[in-house]
Amino acid sequence: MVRGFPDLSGTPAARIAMQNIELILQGICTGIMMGLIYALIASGFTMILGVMNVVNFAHGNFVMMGMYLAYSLGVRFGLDPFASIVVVIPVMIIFGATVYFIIIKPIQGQPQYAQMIVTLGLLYVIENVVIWIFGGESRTLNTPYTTAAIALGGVRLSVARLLGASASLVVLGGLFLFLYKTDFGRAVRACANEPESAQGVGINLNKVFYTAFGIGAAMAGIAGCIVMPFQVCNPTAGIPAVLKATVIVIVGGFGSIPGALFGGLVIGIAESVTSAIWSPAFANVVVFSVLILMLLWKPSGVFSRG
Amino acid sequence: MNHRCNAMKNGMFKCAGTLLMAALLSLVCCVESSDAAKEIKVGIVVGLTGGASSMGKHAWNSYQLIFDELNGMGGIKSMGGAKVKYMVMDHQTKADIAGSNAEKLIRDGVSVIFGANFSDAAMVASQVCQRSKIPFIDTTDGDVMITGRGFDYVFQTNPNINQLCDGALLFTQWLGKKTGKAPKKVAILNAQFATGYAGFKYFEETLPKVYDVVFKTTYPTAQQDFTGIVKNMKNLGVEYVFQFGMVADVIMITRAYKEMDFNPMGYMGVSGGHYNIDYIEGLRKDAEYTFCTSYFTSDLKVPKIKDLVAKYRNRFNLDFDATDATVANGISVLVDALERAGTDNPTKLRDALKTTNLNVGQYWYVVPDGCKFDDKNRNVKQHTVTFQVRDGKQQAVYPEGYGSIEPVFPIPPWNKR
Repeated sequence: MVRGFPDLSGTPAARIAMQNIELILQGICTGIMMGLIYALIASGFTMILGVMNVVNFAHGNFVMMGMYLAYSLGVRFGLDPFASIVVVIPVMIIFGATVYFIIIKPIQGQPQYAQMIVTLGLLYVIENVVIWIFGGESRTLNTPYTTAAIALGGVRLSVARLLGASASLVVLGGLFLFLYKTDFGRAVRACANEPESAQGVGINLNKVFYTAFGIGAAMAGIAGCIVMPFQVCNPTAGIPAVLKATVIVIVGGFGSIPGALFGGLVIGIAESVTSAIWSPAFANVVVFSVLILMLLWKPSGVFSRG
Repeated sequence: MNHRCNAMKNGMFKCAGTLLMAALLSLVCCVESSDAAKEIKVGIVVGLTGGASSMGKHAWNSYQLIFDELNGMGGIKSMGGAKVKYMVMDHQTKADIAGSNAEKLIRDGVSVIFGANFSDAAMVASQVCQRSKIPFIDTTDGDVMITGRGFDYVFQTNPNINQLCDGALLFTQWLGKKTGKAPKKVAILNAQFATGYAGFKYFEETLPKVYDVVFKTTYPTAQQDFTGIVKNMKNLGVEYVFQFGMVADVIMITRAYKEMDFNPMGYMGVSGGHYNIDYIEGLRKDAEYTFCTSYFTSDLKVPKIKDLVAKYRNRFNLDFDATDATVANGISVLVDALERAGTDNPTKLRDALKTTNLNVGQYWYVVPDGCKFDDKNRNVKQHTVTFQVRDGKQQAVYPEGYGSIEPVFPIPPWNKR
């Protein structure tokens, strides 16, 4: 209490003000956690877009595949979704590389609409294969921390989201180091910036492309594992994920990992704060308004390569 | 003389031949007409593939079980033991296909069509039936517009979404009186889907007459975070929550209740996601004490349920669920109408359906109190059924006298479970 001022802390007005502050803080904290996870989902999408100039609409379904893999490993072997990442990474890298050779490579260099149609087709193929294997029912994985929370005053932080956000940050950091501190990462960036020149100095474009597609798919698979403790998995779970990834990439910048991080945080916070203080029904209005504003102001995104 | 005798003989033979021919012809006609009487063609339009296939397959099982049992028991007695010949068509969870299914069945000569376990499909199929003056019996769909268009050949044997909302409200009021602890501040949560919207709108009109609605919101079906909503309800002191949602949303909402340590006196789903068995499987112990108002639970204290559940399990190795129950009710209504009408003439059948007054336990009717149609052909006699999740099962608590357990209310806080 400040000396000389009356103590208003116990009044209804003060209580309501405090509750509103807590509500906004709750929205910001949840938004940061979700934003980091969104950034991980968008990182694979933006990498494939940046390196190969392919808009992979099936990327959200790669996330959904990661969820189903984590679910299956959890149900069959009792593996925690975070532990299942170790299995999911190689599976998704192989899957991604295979998809590249069978579907993406033949259409590289074709008009962009052809690529979009092919990846849209892939989206529906994956969705229907998953329905065929698992059925259309919703699946959940209950872990000891699924509904656990840490109370910080009036704000409660979900342990599952906190773990997911931390893991996303670690994976994004690892991806950043890989791209900026390793020779292969430099080769990937070179291919993204100047593919002809990169080929001219002896970089194997084909190898870079299938590796990048595999890594992109693995990022999505990891994100699927991370969200499984607190999300419900079903065959249509991939579509909202790819929509969100698209918005994040447009906001953050095509092909940029820091851009994905920035875009993820902007979208995550905007969505959660709007949901908390206004209405979840308006969260998408705010998110897509951000998208429209970005397209008008800087169509290539904040962290674009120019 | 011989000539006359021969002529007489010839005349007698001719006469006898004619009589024999006439007798044979009338016998053939009799056989034909009695064969015709022994077969009543019934069409079924359900989704055996696509998004509604899970319900559609259940419904189809129930149609087979009950029509076969009816035929085995001697068919429709007032029609000389006429048997039902049922024909199914798959609408693939697509409304336009449901329309062409109905047209095909009518061309094939059905006297009545059942459907459609998907409101959009029911809307189209029922329109086709109305145009062709063939009775359409909707067994399961909740859309108020199915019977809200004034079609006199369209009947809805199941409660529509408004009737479900009324049921949920009646139950909550009853709960308050029974326990002496009535909630005052309530909230309405709604996922953005057609039936949910209709129910939300209805609750917006009806709930404020009884409770103080301090919070109401809609959310997209792909919503991934509910902590903001729950924090709001906690801040506003919400004591009871009415919800409409898909199963994925309502699982995440209940998880958010626990995560945010939100402890209202109770929360209830109006059919939808809370009714889906995946809700209990997905939440396990956290699903306990949830209320849900829906159509049916297999533990209702109603005659014939145990027998029907056992027969269904034996034949299909599945649990007899609400979809199956609604089909059983619908078929009971048809059998009753056929028995009273004594004919499968569609117009006479429509008239008989209009005067239905069936009690629970009659034929295969398994939901209290039975069926009686109002002037819009909506069933105004059937109660909704409310259950509470207890010991990992949906256990009926309402209507009073039919429930298998007493409700726990207020529900225990999360830290005392």
